[in-house]
Amino acid sequence: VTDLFKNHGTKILGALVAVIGALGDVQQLFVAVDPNPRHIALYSLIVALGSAVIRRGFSNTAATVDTTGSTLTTSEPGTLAPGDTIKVTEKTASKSGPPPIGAWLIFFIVALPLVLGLVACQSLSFQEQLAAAYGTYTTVERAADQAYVSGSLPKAQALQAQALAKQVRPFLDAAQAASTSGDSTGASQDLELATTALGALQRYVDSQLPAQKGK
Amino acid sequence: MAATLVLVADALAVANAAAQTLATTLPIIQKAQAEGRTTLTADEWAQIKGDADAADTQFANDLAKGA
Repeated sequence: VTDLFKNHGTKILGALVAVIGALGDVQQLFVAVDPNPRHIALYSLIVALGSAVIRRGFSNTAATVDTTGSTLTTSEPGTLAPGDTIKVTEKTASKSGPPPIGAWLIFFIVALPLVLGLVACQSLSFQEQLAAAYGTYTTVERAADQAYVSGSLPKAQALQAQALAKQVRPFLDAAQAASTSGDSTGASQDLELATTALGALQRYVDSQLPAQKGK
Repeated sequence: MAATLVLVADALAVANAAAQTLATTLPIIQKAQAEGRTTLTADEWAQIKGDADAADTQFANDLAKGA
């Protein structure tokens, strides 16, 4: 157990913080009678900070130097003196380092609107469901944008995400227009199409994050 | 230390993206429910669609900057 904490202490600490944040989000979204957006945002920040600590833990592990094959030449055994030499043989890492922090975080952030959407669709009217779908669309697009800006999402993939987003938006707008004009059948069909396209967009952004590609 | 600060800043920026949207959409839905409404007002739709428009524009601008 001591070795476990010695080698993975930072990661465990980060995981605990992230779990506390996630539990807070779950409590707000699933249990609380009157969820508070500020509390949800605060818990999301805690999840993000926990993820940053986990990432730091992986960085520490990756920084460990493998000294196999290195040599130490001393004039007197057990001591170092001027003129003694230390030769460290650097080994090529067998695997790449941890994915960028944005990748881990955006995984959480992209998943969050999905949870919001699920909760929202449980007991909401059609227009409220449509509003939740708009919220999901906006959050996923912002997350993809942030991933691109932070370098976690390459430009080609960001352009693809943008192209998918452009396919979602017309369905949302059409559903909203149909609902406002009283065409409930058309509005339902458009929302269904928008939800399907939105799911494809979310899955695409998730799948392009380095954390998911490395699995 | 600097690397850690960069990571934390990155984390906050990403989390803020979700917080911004939640702060717009969720209160509108909650208000409609609290008032017993099944439809949203024109102003509420304008806020929700304006938020989506802003995200569209920001994404397009950031992609254009990186061209």
